[in-house]
Formats: sequence, structure tokens, C-alpha cells
Amino acid sequence: MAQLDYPAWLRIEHWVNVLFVTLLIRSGIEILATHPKLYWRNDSRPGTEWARFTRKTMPTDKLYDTLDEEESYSSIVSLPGHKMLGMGRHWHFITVMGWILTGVAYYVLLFATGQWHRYIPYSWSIFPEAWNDVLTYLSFKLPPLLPGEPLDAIQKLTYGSVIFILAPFQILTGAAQSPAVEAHFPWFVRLWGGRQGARSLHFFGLVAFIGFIAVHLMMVGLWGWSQLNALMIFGVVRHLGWALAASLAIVAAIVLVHVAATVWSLRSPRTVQRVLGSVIIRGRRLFLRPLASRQNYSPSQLSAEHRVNGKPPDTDDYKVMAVHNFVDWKLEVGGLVENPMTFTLAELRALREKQTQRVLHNCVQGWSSIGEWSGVPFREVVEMVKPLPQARHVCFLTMQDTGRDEPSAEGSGQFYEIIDLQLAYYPQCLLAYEMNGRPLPIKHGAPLRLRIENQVGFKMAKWIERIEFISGYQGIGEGMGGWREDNVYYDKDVEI
Amino acid sequence: MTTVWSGSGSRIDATDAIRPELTALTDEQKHRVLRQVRRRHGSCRHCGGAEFLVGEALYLGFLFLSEDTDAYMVALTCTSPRCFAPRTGIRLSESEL
Repeated sequence: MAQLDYPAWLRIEHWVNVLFVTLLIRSGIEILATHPKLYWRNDSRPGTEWARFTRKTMPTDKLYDTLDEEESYSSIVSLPGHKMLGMGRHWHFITVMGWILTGVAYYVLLFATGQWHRYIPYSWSIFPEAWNDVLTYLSFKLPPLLPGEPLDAIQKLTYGSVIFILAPFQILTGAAQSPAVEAHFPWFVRLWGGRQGARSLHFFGLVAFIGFIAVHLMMVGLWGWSQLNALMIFGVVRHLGWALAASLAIVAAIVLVHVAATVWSLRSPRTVQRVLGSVIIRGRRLFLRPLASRQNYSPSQLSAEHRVNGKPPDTDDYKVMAVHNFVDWKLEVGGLVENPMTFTLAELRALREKQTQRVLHNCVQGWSSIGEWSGVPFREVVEMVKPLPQARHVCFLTMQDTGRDEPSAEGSGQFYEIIDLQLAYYPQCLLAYEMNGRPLPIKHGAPLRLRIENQVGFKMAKWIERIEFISGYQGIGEGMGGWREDNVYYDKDVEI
Repeated sequence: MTTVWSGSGSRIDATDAIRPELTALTDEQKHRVLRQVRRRHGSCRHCGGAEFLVGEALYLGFLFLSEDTDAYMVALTCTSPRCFAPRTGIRLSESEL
């Protein structure tokens, strides 16, 4: 058996892990704050949450949406705090990329150097030994170390569980919350009890990590902080004073990274969005973009009440159109196309046999619902208008003015979202005019909304009035690819 | 009206599908609406006509932030054959319906 010492790579990985795990915890709490309720069922029905981290109550006589339910947490517990979901997501995803790479390197080195012996037990007898260790700790004594190993039985089991079970569990339950993964592998999200099951389990993983860190620090204190700290700095027990100074310097550097990330995010969110987004987008496009939706939930799985986000256009023109069943509504499709067209709702309905899909809707805030959407596949419209070769993206312009209609949202102006033209050809990319077998409800985007089932909900523009094919989006709004990208710093491509 | 095939193969009339938010009015309610139009000297903003057909009502109070909780929009259609944009509406409170 290899000598179970503290090689340099293990010490470096330990401190890098401290940075990544703490960043993940704080940015995870920021993501939780945006919908501070946890459920087990996919419909996220109000009142069925098993945990809530908010005291807000919602009105019963007015339409509210989940933006109204968002909480603002302190920067001390969340990164960056103050209702900055876009920033929290960027930090969470960039960190998880680093964490996974660190983890892979850790696994490889563990097995390549024989250091895996410190975490993986060889005999079932370790379980009764671990139980005896727990009883020994409870009697305020220290149990014996395993022969020739640096840990006692309960420590070995705990560290092994964190490294080989808890960390992969967090990655898998995180992946199960990606709309692209859920859309392409519906069985995978079922494995975790559904979308909200995965989210709740991911939360338990967060609590487990916090608990582990607390117990780990306590153990280090009980077994001799100075000696163990020296082992984690120099690899041997020597220069205890210098080791303490070095570890304090490392912790200070980690705190500094947190402070810098927080201040940077609060003061220059656009820069953070651009810099971190440029890295994250590569991972998304490589691993998640190819995952086309192939969902087909059963009618019995439809949510009785599908949650909403965004509020309808509060104008007389819209209300008059609505009370006349949108007979006067027209959809203009133009821009970089050979054949610009205009459709009434009846003409859209008459284009072809409607396509129906029963799918899981993923809000960027974390809630979900299952709905049945019917309409015309967007690719049919694309083929009719014939995009010019320079068309690369599609801009969906809506009748919603966010400043007027959505006071809970930061920012104002006409709501729009842009997708890559590539997504228009995905099989479940739909211009939906019906929901659950009836005309699309006003609160869900009547008369027409977009459905792209491998993306997060905000990309699926509602209350659409115009579709424009474009070569680039730098000159539209703030140039970030959509209203939410411009105003709340979300990512343009949201397969997770 | 446009007739299309639904996905299940059944033949439906798409424009006959009443949206879930609309409420059909009784004849008596429609008379009350027309009385309110006359009382307010309502006229078509496109052709100036004063004769309307009354359609369904849309409850605004719940869906729209700026609306009073008892507000409705009632569909009116200008009956003038020369009107190029006949569809309009009138906002009424629940007690006026």
C-alpha cells in the first residue's frame, strides 16, 4: 500500500476545493433565493412546498408571478446577493466547471498514486468500527486511527462518501435540473423523482456539504489543529507557526476572491456576464446544445395549474384584441428573409395539422410545471419565409413592455428574446397557440408564444407580435441577446 | 371562418374556440352594455358609427395590474358596413353589467 501521506497535489487540491465549494455554496444560495421554495412534485403548485425561505405572501385578487416571489438575500450568504440571479448563475456554472475539472484531476491522482486507500474501505468490518468511533466521540474521547492510516474508521467512511458519493450526487442532481438534459433524457429526471425532486435533493446536498465542513473543522480542532494544518501546508508536521501563517494567508486569499467576486458582480455585472459567459457558453454549446427534446409526458401528468412568469401587456389595444379572440392580431415575420410574411391567428392555425407536445417547463428561477402545447412547428414558418444565408439568429418581439407590465422586474422596455437559428429546426421548437387543448391563455402568452423545450423558460417569448431574422444582435437593446440578458444579465443560451 | 384539422384528426373550427378568459353575456346584460354605450355617447373611433353588436366580456381585474378589481372589457363590433376597423370595446365595472 502506498504511504498515505500528504503529497503536494493533494494539498493543493484541498485548498482549491475550499475555494470552489464555498463559491458553489454562496452562488447556490443566490439561485435558491430567486424561488425560495422547495417542492417534490413537478408542478411546483403554490402551497405544496415542503420548505420555504421567505415570508412573502402573494395576492389572491391579482395575477402574481414568480418574479414577485423572489427574495433578496444578503451578500454574506449569497453570491452576489441582492436579487442578482444572473450573476449567481454565472458564478455557479463557472465554478462547477472548475470544480469538475479539479475533481477529475483528484480522482486520477488518487488512483494513480495509490492514495485512494485512504478513502476506500476494504472490509465490511469498517462499519461496526465506525459506529464504535461515533460512540467514542460522543463520550468526548478520540477513537484509534486505522492501522497505518491517517484516519479513523468513521473519518475514512465520511471522507470517502463526500468524495465518491456526495460530490457526484451534487453534479448529477444539478445536471437533472438542466432543461436540455431533461428534454433529451426524460428518464434521467424521473430517476431523481422529477425536476423538483432533483432540486430538493440538490438542496440536501448543499446542507450535507455545509454539515461536512462544520464537522471537518471540528475534527481538525479535536485532533490537533496545528499538526494537521502543518500536514495540509507542508505535508509534514514542522514549522507549525509558519504553517498557521500560510493557512491564514490562503484563507484570506479565498475570502478576498469572494469579496472581489461579490463587488465585481454588484458594480460591473455586464463585465462579469461577458467574461464568465464567454467561458460557460463553450461548455453549454459542446455538451448541452446537441440535446434535442424528445419529451412526451402522459396527459395524467399535466399540471392542474401551470405556473407563470411575466404579466400580460397592459394596454387597451391588447385588451380589445383579446376580447375579440385576437381576430385582429397579426404576426409579422421578416428581416433577413426572401419572403416576408404576415399571418393572422386563423392563418397560422390553417398552415398545417397542429403539433402537440406535453413537456416539462423549466423556469430559470427553479420552478417547473408540465403543460401540453399545440401549434405550428417553427421550422415550417422558417421554410416559408426562407431565411437569407446571412441570417444567424431569430428575434421574437412581444407586446409586453416590462417597465409597464412587470414592476418586479429590473429594467424597462419592449420584451424580446433572441435564439440561434439552429434552434428553430429542433423538433419541439413550436409557435404555440393552444395550451392543454384550449386557446392559449392570456397569462401564458396569448395569442402566440414560443416553446423551445431544451431551453429555460424566459427564452420562450410570450405575446409575440413580430419575428425578425437577423445576422447579429449586438445592435439590439444592450446587445446581449434578449431583454433578460440585457437587464438582469442572464445568459443568452440557457440549456441549463 | 377557417376550418382546420386538429392533431388528433378531429375536425374543429378554430375561430369558434372560445378563449378561457371570456364570459358570454346574457341578452339582458347585452342591453345594459348598449345602454352604457349610449349614456357615454360612445361612437366608433374609426368611422364614427354609434351602432354596435355586443360580444363577450373579458374580466380585466385579475390579469392586468392597472385595472380595478371589478373591471371588465366588453367586445363591441361597429355595425357600419363602411367601417374598416369595426372591433372595439368598452370598459365597464361589474355593477354596470
